[in-house]
Amino acid sequence: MEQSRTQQESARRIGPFRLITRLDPPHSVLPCRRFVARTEDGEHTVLLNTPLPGTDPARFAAEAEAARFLLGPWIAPVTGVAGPGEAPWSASPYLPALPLPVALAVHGGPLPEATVRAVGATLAEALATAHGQGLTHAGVSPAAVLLTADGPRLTCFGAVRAASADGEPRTGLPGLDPGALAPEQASGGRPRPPGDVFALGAVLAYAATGHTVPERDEIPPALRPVIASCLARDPADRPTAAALMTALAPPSTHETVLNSGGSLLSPGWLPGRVVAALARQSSELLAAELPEPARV
Amino acid sequence: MLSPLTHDDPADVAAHRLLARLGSGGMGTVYLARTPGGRTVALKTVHARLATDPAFRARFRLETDAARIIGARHGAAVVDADPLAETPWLATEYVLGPPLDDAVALGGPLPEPTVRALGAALAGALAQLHSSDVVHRDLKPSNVLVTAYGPKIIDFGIARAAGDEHLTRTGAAAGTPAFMSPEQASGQEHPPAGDVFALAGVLVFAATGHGPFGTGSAADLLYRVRYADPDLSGVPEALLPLLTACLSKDPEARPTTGDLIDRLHDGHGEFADHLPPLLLTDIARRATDVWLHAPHRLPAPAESAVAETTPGTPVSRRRLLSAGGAALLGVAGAGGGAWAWLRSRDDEGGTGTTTGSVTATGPTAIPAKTASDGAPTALWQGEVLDREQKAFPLLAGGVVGFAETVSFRAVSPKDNAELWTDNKVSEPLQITTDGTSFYAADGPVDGPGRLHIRTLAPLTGEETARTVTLKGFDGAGRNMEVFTVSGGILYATARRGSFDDPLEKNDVDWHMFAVDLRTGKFVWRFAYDWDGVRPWLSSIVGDRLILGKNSGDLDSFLVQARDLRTGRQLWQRRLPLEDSSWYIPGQLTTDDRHVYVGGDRLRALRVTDGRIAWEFGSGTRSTEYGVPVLADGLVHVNKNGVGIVAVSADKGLKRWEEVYSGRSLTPSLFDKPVVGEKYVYAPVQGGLSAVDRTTHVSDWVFPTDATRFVVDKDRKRIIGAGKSSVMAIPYA
Repeated sequence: MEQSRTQQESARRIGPFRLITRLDPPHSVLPCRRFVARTEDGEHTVLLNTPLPGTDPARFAAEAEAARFLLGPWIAPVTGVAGPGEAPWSASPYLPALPLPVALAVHGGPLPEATVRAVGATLAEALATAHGQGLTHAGVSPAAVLLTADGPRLTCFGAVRAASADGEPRTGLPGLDPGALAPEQASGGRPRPPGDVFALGAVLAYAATGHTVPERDEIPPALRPVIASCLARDPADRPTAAALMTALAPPSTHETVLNSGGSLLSPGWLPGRVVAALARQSSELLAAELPEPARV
Repeated sequence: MLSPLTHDDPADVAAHRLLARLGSGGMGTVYLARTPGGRTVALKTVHARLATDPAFRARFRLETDAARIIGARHGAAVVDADPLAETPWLATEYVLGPPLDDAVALGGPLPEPTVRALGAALAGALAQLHSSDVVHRDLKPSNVLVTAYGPKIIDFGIARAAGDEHLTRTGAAAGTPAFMSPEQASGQEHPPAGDVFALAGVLVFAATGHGPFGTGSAADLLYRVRYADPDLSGVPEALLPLLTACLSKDPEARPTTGDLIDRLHDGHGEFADHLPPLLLTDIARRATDVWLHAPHRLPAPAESAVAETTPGTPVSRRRLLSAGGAALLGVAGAGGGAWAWLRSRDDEGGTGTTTGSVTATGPTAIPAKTASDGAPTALWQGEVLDREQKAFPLLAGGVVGFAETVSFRAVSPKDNAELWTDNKVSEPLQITTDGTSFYAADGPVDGPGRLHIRTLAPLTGEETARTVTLKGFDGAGRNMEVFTVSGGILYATARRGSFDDPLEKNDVDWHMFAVDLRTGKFVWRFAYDWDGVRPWLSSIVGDRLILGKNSGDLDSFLVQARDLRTGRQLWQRRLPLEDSSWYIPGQLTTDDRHVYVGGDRLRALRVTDGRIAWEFGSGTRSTEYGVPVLADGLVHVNKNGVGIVAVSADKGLKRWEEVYSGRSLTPSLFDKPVVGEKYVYAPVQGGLSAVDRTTHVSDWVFPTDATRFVVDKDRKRIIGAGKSSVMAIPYA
């Protein structure tokens, strides 16, 4: 008895954190497990990622480490990773956030076009920045996109690379969303920027219709050409992330160097029920209390 | 919203670690705090000096119980509380949503679907409350928090169990005039239907941005609540019949909460579906910001010069205009109405948003440069509680006296050392000085009316002369006022009657009189028509007593001159000054020739006949010029958007005006400046600005919440009094 309680207790503990709740509903297509967790002193609440069971923890750790170099407002910043020899994890400061599939669920269907456009423009900006740094994200999928009050946050950096080595087919691997995997990556090609653009196209299709592989006429007419161009089978036919951003958030006449996809995040960019779900999550986590530490 | 802790906030309260200040009011401070298990809560604490009062503790416990009754769905969930602790505290859920008044200020009046959803949800909350035999009694926009899942009702400071007469009688009964029920406004029992009336007022406010009875002084509001038709202009047509019914003067004629739920909303969709985008954005921001807040604490000011100014909580002042029909409010002033938690802005006298042009000058954050800009170090500084801020500090015989909410305190101007206190004075305006003694009025609260006038020695507080007793006058009444004392004659106003007279007698049989303090005999005395409004401002010029007061119509300022020896009125002039209800005694500025009054323009009235000698400026706002002060033949006055303007006293010609110093200052137009040799000290939002009389530039701002300043010339210092602090700085 005593021992099994200890085991339970340790299962709820990862690194310096104690788990409060899972971020994702069961059966999410996701390359990692995501929790909301808190340090023992109650001081820091984080979004915590751990590798899926049955995947290579070393690859997860390598990508987590590399994710620390990603920059920009639309990236969930990795601020902590497991120490050497520890079971791997990575952590970002917690913000109220809904995975894109959850946002569709609470909204009750596809998101409004303004929301899709804002998510698309900001994420295209995030990818353009990464590509400019010579980094390919290789983990864009509907579940990898979190919606927060002030814009999306991209997570799951390097999921495709972590899933298997280049050169091996990647179909059917756990955690990879087949709908968001570019054909050249599915067949084992090394992830490159056009693959990110394909994945973003799938994300936008999902946000606008509820599936990553929609019928063409399901997509709102104004978004059809741009999403279709992202989903081109030939990587050379896809737009660059920067071009995608321009297509989704056309430059205004008063454009300045500070303009970005963020200009679409004006009041009302998130539907009411999504805001309500964010507020509820925030409220529940404010109220969450860690049990007294178990004395073993 | 989240302000840093100040240097003297405790690190924790009963194992809750404090993270930020959410606000502070007359009764205490509300913090964002965290339990050892990492739960984040809103923690209310009571000021230590109030915690010693058993009545406050009782009310605090009541609030805790009421918050528990309404529960987490319609109110802020109670997490924990200890009303018996040395510092009583209450921990509740930190609610993620703006108060309704802020929501309307942010995005304007709410669309009809929002108003309907809000109304139905609030009616549901009231229904639940009433079924537990609790009425709220103070439902108003600032007590309604709009979350994404529905409104939450907070601040049960004066909520009470139905039938709990004890607290009613001891003064817990008070609401906000703008949203009071007529029953409440006339001092009667506030039934559940009274909450329905208030709810309708809240919905009118939500739909239009104004309350059904407008804004203005308490007296005016109380009158309109009782007798006037509600102003429903701007209310969507479909809501008119229902809201009109709810605002019926007859409680029996109002719909029930059940009717309201049915008629306001069909229950379709979720609450969030009915919220406008700006409101949703604000809710989302609040839900997020609380996680981004890094706890920090403001450093102790240099040599503890400033303690009480917190950036983000603009210094505001509330003055409860005491009025005849508002004896109820007079009682509220004693503490009942003070449960305005989380409020650092005015919300007692007005609608909870803006009070005319008083706040139109805009709450400006305290200037970024404060103690480091060359402002002098405070000679001393102390904490006080003076919610109403009605009286100037009184200087007499080398002692300074502060008439505050709880007592009159005499301290040494040298170091703020307390010399004595007097608790018999129940009202700040019932004590005055002629510079040598203090003169305090009081009276018994039972039996036949008597008005006692005591002469107190400045240093000891002991009576140095026989107490003058005026039989048949109510000396304990809150509206009695002492104007001034000069040449052994005290000038005052009081009602004939006794303290326990029924309410309706509070408006009749008022007298103005002069009494000789040596003989105890009236020099003159005559009856006048009480118009429900005070205070009187007074000044003696030669053989004339100059009086000024906001008039009964509330829109104008009456100035009159009386013969000192006979009391005969020599002239009276009515000036169109809407904001004159904000003036307090000590703000009437005179010299041998003129009475100077600010407002839309600066005016000089001739002492001889009350005619306008000159006018300066031509503002369009009701208050463009503040309270003037005289020095060296110049009238110095704070001007909106400019700062100090100096105008010749004889002809009204501009001599100089303040030069923009590069930092944005908001003049406090209702506070009186002080003129020194080097500086004109101009009250501004957040402090006192020293404007150099030669360069006309503000050299520094001394941060303080003080609003009333006097000069102790012997000790070369300015002594200031604010809502929560008193201070002294060098006078130059």
